[in-house]
Amino acid sequence: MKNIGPVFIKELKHHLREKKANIMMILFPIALIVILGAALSSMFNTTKIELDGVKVLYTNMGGSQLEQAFTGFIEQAGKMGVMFEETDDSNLGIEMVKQADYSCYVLLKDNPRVIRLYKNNRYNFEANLVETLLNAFVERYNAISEIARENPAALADVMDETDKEFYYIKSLDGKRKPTSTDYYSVAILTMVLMYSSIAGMSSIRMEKSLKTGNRILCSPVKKHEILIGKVMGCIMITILQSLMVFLFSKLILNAYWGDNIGVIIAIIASEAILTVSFGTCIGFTIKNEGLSVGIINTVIPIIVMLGGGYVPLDTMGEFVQKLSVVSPIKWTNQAIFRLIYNSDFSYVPVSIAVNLIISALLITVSSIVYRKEAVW
Amino acid sequence: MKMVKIVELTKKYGDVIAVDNISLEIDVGEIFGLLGPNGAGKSTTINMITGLLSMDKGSIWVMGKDARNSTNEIKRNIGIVPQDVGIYEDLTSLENVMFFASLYGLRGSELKKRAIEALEFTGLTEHINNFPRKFSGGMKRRLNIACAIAHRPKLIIMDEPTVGIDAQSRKHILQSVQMLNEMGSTIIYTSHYMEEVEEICTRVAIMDYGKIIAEGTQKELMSIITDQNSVWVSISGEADRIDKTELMEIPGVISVEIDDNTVKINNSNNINNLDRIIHYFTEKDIPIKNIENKTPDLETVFLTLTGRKLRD
Repeated sequence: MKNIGPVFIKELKHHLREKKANIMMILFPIALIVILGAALSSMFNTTKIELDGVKVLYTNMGGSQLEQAFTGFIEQAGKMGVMFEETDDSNLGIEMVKQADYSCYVLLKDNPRVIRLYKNNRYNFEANLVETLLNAFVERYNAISEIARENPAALADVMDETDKEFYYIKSLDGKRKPTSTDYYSVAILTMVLMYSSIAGMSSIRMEKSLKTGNRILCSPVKKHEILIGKVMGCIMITILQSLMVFLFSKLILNAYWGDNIGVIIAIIASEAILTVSFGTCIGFTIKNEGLSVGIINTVIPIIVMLGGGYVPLDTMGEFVQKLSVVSPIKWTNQAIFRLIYNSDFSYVPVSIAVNLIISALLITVSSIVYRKEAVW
Repeated sequence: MKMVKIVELTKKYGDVIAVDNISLEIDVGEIFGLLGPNGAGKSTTINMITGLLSMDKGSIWVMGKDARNSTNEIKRNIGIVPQDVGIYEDLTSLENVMFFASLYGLRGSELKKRAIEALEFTGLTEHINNFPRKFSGGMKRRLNIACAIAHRPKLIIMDEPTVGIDAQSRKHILQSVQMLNEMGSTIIYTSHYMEEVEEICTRVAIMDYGKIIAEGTQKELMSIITDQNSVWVSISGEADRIDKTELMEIPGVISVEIDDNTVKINNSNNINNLDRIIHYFTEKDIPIKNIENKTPDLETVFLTLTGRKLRD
């Protein structure tokens, strides 16, 4: 593995000296975010949404302890504009949500103690908001129950603290909804990232066209060392380019990226691995350069479109939304948006796993083809 | 111990036999010339020695090690100067040499020192921090060599290292090859330029259609054609008035080659036919500027053995 370092450093030098490619991968997305952010701002509501119209139906079949806690929760949610109405009929509750009369229906049950949430996708944002509120409520309720069981003396302090400020509100970031600049900062970054596959492809093709590939293979360096060094170099430069766009959008354009920046960078890094692996695989498997570029330029717009890279997915038809599950960008964008606006981590492992599993498959194919190639 | 020992080596591409059952031995300290026209099988043979290509049949031993089993050990001691210049135009000369040398395990100050030495050796000291994209063809060829020698290999394989360069750069490269040899490296030098091989190689193998058709020192190869002499007739006027067939009808003439205004006639030593050759030109009213009796060269050897010129 000792030869990975020199190959990695050489790869970084190539990419850092490619002025045109760097301009393309940094300035182009910035320009796109600025243009689309301004031009399509009417497609997005302004910074705050009105929650006065959020109606939630609920049935309490839980015990008195849960009911007491939930009543406090309803009061606090009401201050945010989320209005809860009670019904005794759970079937009616579900039906009303189906008919979109209410954003959600919440069913509280005892034995086992569960809270079920039924959402209507027509009120996607509002329903997600209620879901986040409920998640926070459940976490807090469980924590307090645990404290009550293990250390009842400490319970009073905890309850005092929670009375002062309703603890869920902070995670919602004051009812924020993405502006067009917020939206396209994420969508354009994840879209342009996909075009780094061209860097991965060029990195492989370059060794063939410059006749340096054979020269490297004549040295006592193993093929997997070359492959890893090259892929790592491309990934590193792609992450650096993404960070530049990210920092510009955050610091200059004031795009909102939420509070979990580290996790967002991890998701972006996983997409960088995916895109470079895709390009590398194309570089190894497709011998014709024109065809390679053609494939990249055909596949990427499709998966970006399916990922909501051009316009938000919920503005597209149901068919497109169903089809979007095949796009890794959909998972990436979804994870990032839910993380920013809902503090919802649930899609993070899925998106990272999708990106890394596809990457592993692409790199495996690349290494098989490379192993079989004798002379470059 | 031989530096390289090749035994009954064969390589096929489909139905085409690129290397056909060849056997060779190259001694330590030699400059061994592999001569042959394009497509003769020289590069394929080299690619098998360096481990780039697999062998279909036969075996290769480098420094006593089997090339099938000790690939990395062999590679560590080989420097390859590829036929196509293999350098990065967006890395400086120094960065190019340092990168390739680093693949052979050199690191840190030792790596830089050896890279600078290699660039000095190839006369590129002044261009150490320049990018090769601005270099002439000759300078790129020299950098191509520098990248192959910084790790001080025991065996240097040069595959047509002087293709497409000016006379000065060619002279510099040939001198470099001899110096590298004096410094202890064994050299395998492939070329289809017969005069280069004649100038620097201690022993030569001639390849054609994948086979070795002759092998030995230049003296030994010349002895193949000791019964021949070569007469070069320089003429003024139009060479297209000369009919090769008519010249071939003169008793003793073996082959005729017309190179600009020089007619090169290979003759049998047993027949004195100079007067008849001169008569041919005077009869046709073609003015003769000069007549030379030439010693046969490797080109003549190749022509005799194959009936073709090296650069056909």
